[in-house]
Amino acid sequence: MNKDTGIGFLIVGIGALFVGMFYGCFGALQYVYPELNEIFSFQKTRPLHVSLVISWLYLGAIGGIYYYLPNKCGVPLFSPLMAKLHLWIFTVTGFVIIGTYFMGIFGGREYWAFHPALAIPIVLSWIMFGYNYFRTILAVKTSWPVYYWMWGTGILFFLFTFIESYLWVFPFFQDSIVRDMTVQWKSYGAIVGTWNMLIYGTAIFLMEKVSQNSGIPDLEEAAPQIGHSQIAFLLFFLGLLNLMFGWAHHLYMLPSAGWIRHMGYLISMTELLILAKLIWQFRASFIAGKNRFHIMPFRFLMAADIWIFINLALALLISIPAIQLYTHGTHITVAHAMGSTIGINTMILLASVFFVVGEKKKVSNNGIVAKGFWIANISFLVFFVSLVIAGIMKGIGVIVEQQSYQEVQTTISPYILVFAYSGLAMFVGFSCILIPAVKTLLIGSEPDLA
Amino acid sequence: MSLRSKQWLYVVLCISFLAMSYGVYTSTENVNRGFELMSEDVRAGKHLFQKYNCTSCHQIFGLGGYIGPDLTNCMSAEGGPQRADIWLRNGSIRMPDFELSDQEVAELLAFLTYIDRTGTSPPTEYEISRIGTVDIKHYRDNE
Repeated sequence: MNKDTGIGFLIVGIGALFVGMFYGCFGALQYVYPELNEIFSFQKTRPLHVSLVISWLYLGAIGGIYYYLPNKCGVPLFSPLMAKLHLWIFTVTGFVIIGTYFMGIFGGREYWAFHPALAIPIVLSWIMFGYNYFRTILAVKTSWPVYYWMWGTGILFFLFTFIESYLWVFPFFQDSIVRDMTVQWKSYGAIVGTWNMLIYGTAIFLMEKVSQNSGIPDLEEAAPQIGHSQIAFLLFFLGLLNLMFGWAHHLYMLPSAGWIRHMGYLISMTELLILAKLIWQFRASFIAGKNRFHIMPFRFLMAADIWIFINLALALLISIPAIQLYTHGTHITVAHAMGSTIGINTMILLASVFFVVGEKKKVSNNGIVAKGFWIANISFLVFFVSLVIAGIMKGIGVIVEQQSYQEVQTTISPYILVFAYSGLAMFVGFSCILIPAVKTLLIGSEPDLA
Repeated sequence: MSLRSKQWLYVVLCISFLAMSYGVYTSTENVNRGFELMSEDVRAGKHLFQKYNCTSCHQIFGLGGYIGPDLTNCMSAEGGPQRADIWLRNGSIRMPDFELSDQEVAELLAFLTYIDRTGTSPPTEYEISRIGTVDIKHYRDNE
């Protein structure tokens, strides 16, 4: 059994993803076959799915940080004991949260549907994580690569925004629904920015390390510059700007203050710079991708790159208020959320998992993992497109034709059917990827992965 | 970019973020209306809405789950209060019967009426500007 805390986080994270996907599939089937609600109500399915997959994002990113700092960056952790304690607190709290969901005990808020008391151990262990992280990297006297900044920012801002998401317990916030929802979605928008910081930092770290050992002389030579380049820092500050001020596009349709909505629109459009950079570098990325496609972590990074392009284009479109008027509250928002969490974040974290797995075993290019990669990505494309079409139909139905809820549901039902079954196929694809990976992480002495 | 420039930029952004957060917390545009309409029944209804995790299936102002309808203006829709009362007391194939007491039903109805009076979702009256912003009329002038 592997005793590395970083790997422990990765294993628990993969477990959370697996169970989270199961409830995601069950929830999708509940849309198509409502009688399934009599077996297990959707009121429980959704928080199980959402909480578990969000846990995967954090656990996967934290696992990478705990593993890479001592093992790949040559920076020993300030306190390995604190890291272990962090893992135990997170795991036990996670089990308690799942137990309360089954018992029907809720805090009843989006994202954090658990009882507010369970936020306390999360905050305390996060403070410990932050202390451990900053004490660790403050020992580094040379110039920090951008991923140290990104990880530190993710840690710092998660603490602020997570606490902010509980301001609703005070009457000053709770007693006006407009203020309550404004602050709620301010914090949630920024929280997404915090996991993006942790995960995108991991992506840059991986690009650097994968290039270092690619066997391609030009890439190996350029690798040490990746984490220190001007462009990497400019994109980091642009990401930070969006984390801090870009959340307000969630609130266009809420009667919140005008300046909040206009600020959100303005800041969201700065992401055009990232899109422009992606288009500018597309050919170079494609050629580099072809050269390195045999390297499993790079294959996942390449998939994430394509999904960033698709999802950013969609995000920019729906951040224009005149377009969001039609898309808000429709399945296009779900497509965008899934594009970010599955297409981008999960692909990057799987690159991270397979970077660690690759340290132990060679992963074949044509085996079960490679097949899983294609099944997961192709079914995800179908899943994504069906949600976008369902969203367009709902937007037109609600805003233009002013149809009733029942009429809209009937119109979009064929697309929801495709969404549910492509979700099942995606579950199969990810299982092909995750099961061999977790086996290697757990035991670390199996034959090379097929 | 030198280390000093990075540190300065970081600090300036953090200070701006804190100032903006303060502005968001204390902004009163359309917020005071929510306070004025709040009552004990509404507050209790809001707690019940959270206790039964209603947001898992329903949206308010287009934010929340997708399996049930947006509830923002369900009370001002034709036959709204009667329909809401029936759903709350009996559930449906998709919605569990929570076996609510008469008082709980009344409190949830008070909360739904409260939301209805704070705005409109989905928007029915709006103006789109040339730069793509949207001005939504959330309630009638005499309200």
